[in-house]
Order: sequence, then structure tokens, then C-alpha cells
Amino acid sequence: MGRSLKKGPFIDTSLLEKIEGMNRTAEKKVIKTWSRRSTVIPEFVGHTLAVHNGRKFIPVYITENMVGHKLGEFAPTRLFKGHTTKVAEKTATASPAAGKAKSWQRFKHKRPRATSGPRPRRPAW
Amino acid sequence: MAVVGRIARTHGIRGHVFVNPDTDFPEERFAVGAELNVGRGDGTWERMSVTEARFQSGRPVIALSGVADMNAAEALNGAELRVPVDMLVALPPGTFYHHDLIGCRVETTDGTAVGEVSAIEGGGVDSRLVIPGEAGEILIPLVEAMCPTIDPVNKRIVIAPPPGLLELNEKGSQNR
Repeated sequence: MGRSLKKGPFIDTSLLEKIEGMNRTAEKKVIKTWSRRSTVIPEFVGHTLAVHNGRKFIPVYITENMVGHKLGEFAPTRLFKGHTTKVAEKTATASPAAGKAKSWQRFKHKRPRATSGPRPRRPAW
Repeated sequence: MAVVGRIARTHGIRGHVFVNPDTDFPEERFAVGAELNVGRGDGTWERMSVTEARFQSGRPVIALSGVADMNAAEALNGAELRVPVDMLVALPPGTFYHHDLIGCRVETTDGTAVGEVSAIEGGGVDSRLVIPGEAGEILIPLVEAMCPTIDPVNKRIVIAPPPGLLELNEKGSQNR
């Protein structure tokens, strides 16, 4: 369901104040923002906003086509590098060096107990 | 040679393969009779022609010459498909192929060297030049206002960055 029209678009106040301040002084500098939820309004056009994607800032030069969209739409948070093919999977499992160590190999004190043989007796308190 | 796609997986038992296209002109690149250079994992390249082609959910499904069954097709999984650069169509002014931009020297309007383009991020209106540097990665929006001169022939791009753009993702810099 869309946002009510009577409220107008949502923009974080801190971001809007910075943009309005720069528009008054005709200044053009990059503004860092974490406000991915803010909507692009016509006042933003021509400015460069550095939108955080959780890891780094993505510089976004605002154009007229972006008006009405959220800033987060222009700073993707995920990078899809494709699925592994069966051939690549086989080669990864064939070479032990390429495979990752199992969790218990990294934490030796937590290695699984041997299933065969007598279990160690608990000391009698 | 320019990359036009990558073989994703086999389709059916007659040697057809799905292709993940990296081109804006998939209908021309993967049409019947088109010649493609197929790069195998061991670094060898083989010239093959497309014998059958159709599109399924926007992705090309093609058959290549010399690939008759599923086993032969499976060996091509992940293979890169390239065409010679002279076969590429001319683009309208203001648009560039990725391989033309990668490797370009980037300098500011006052002549300060920034680095070399290593990759292009994003697509369409929000494309960005990626310039690796010792202090961190530099991202430049690929728009006319920011990149007034792009000269792929001389491998040179002149940028007019606003204050703060080059220091945006500097290592050790304060986030706020």
C-alpha cells in the first residue's frame, strides 16, 4: 500500500536541511548519508549524495529520472556473483586445500567424541 | 575480444546451453549463424557457431556447433563467450563499451592523476567508474557533469569531482 498523498514524500530532516542549505549558497559538495529511506525530491537534482550500503558509500549523482524513488534504490547492498557450476563444485571438493576446515577442526577442544570404545567414566564426587 | 556472455548451464539432452548475456544486443549476438569464441577453463579458445537459438524468460538458449549431447554441453559450464572487437556495433555518442573504459587513466580537470579504471559498477543511469587506490577505492558516477571528457582512443578520462568525492571511502577516514 502506498504512502498517503496528504503527508507528502518522506525525507529525513537532517538531510533535507543540508540540501536546502547548499541550494541557498549554490554549493556542490558530496553529502554522506545513511538515510536510504529518504525519497528523492526535485531539490536534490544536480547534487551528489553518498549513500551508505552497509559497507561503503556509493556516490549517486541525482538526476530528474530519480525523483520519486528512494535513495536506497541506487546503492545496492548485495553483490550477486552467480551460482557455482557443478564442475566448479567438483574441483573445489576434490582438492582438500581449497575446502574449508570443519568447525571442529578450527576449535580443537570441541572435536567430536569417538563413537566406538568405552566412554570415559565420570569421577565419583 | 569483448565478452558477450557466459554459459550458465545445460538445457535438455541435445547439447543446448543457457547463456547469461553480458550484451545489450543478445538477439544479434546469439542469432543462428553467429560466430562465438568459447573460452574453456584451461585457457584454450575455440571458435564455434550458433546452430540453434531461442529465448526463454529473456535468456538465450543456444546450441553450438560440435556440441551434440548433454555431456559435451556440461563441459562448457561457466565458459566465456567472446567476439572480436571489430565485430561490435558503433554506439551512439555518450555511450561506451565497458572494455573501452577499463584501463583508462583518470585525471582531474587541473591535471592531478587519480588512477586507472579497473571496473564499471552498476548499470544504466547509475554506472560508476571504480578506481582502486592505496588509500581506498574511488567511485566516480559516470555522468557528463562529473566526467566532462572521455577519450577511449587515448585511454584518458577527465573528471570534475565535487569536494569530498575522492576521499569518500578512504581507509581510516572518519565515517561521519
